[in-house]
Amino acid sequence: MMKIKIVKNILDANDQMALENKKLFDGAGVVAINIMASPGAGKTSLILKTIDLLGLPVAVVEGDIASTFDAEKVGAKKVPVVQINTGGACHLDAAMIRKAVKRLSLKGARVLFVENVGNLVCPAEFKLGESARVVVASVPEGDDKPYKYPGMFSAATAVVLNKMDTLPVIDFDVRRFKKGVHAVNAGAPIFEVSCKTGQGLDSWIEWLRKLAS
Amino acid sequence: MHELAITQNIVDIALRSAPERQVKGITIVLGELSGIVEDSVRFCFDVVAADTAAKGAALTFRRVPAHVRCTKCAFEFKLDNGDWACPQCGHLGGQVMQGRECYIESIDVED
Repeated sequence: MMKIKIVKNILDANDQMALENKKLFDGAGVVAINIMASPGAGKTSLILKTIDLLGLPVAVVEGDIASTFDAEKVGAKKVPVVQINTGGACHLDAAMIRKAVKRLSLKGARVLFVENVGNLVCPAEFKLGESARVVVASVPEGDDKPYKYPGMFSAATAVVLNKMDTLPVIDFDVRRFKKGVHAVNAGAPIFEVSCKTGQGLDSWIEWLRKLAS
Repeated sequence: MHELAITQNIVDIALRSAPERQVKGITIVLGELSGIVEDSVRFCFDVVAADTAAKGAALTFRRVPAHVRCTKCAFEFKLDNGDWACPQCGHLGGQVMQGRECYIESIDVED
C-alpha cells in the first residue's frame, strides 16, 4: 500500500468555477450578490423592493427546487431574470450560475441578485462568484437563528432582518439576535427592515449603492 | 443533502490523483464548523464510488476542533458546545482561527 499526499480542498472544483464567474462579472462591470435565507424569510420580497428603490439596472437569477413563481414576480418588473430549478438539490453551485448567466443578458446591468435555495445550511458552503453574501432572517423565525446556524451567519457580508413590522406581536429580542450575529461575525452590518412597510430599507439601499459604485 | 455533492468531489479528486490505480483509503480532514456530516458522506460514498476504482475504499475522518480568538482580549479558545463567549473576559464573539477545514489529506493506493 502506498500513501499519496494530496491536501486538496474538497470544494476546489466549485471554488475554481466561482473564481471564473467572478472574473466574468468583473469584466461585465456587474456586482453579484448571493442572497441566502430559510424558506419564507423574504428573499424575493427584498429583491422586488430593492429593484424599485435602487435606481440601478439589475438582473436576477432565481434558484428554487421547483416552480417559476419567483422568476415571474421579478419578470413583471421588466428586469432580466432566469430561473434555475435545482430539481431537489438544496443549494446553488458555481456551475449552475455559469449556465444560468449564459441565458441572461448582463449588458448594462450593475447588480446581479442571485436568490439561493431557501436553506440556512448548505448554500453557505458553495461560493458562486459573488462579491457579497447577504443573509436574510425574519422576525417570525425567532431570535435564535444566528446561534443555531453559525456557519451561515459567519459567512455573511451583511445581514438583513426582515418583517420588523411584526415585532409587536412576536416574542423576538432584537438585541439577542444582533448579539448572536456579531458573536460569529463581528463586522457584519445588520439592516432591520420591513419589505411590507418599507421601514429601514434606506440604509440597506445605501449600502448596496456603495457596493456597486 | 449537500453531502452528495461533497462526496462526488471527494471521489473525483481521489480518482484523478491516482489514475488507473485501486484507491484503498481516503483521509479527509473536516473542521468542526465545516458543516459536513461524516455519516452522510459515508452513506453517499457507497453509491458514488460504486463502479469506480475507489469502490470499497476505507474513509478516515480527522476532525479539527474549532478555535476562536476573542475579538476583545485576543484570548484564543476552543469552541465548547457552540458557546462563543470568551472564557477569559466573557465577551461574546471571535474570529475563527481553525475549524473550517474541508480537504483531502491523502489517499492510500495499491502498490
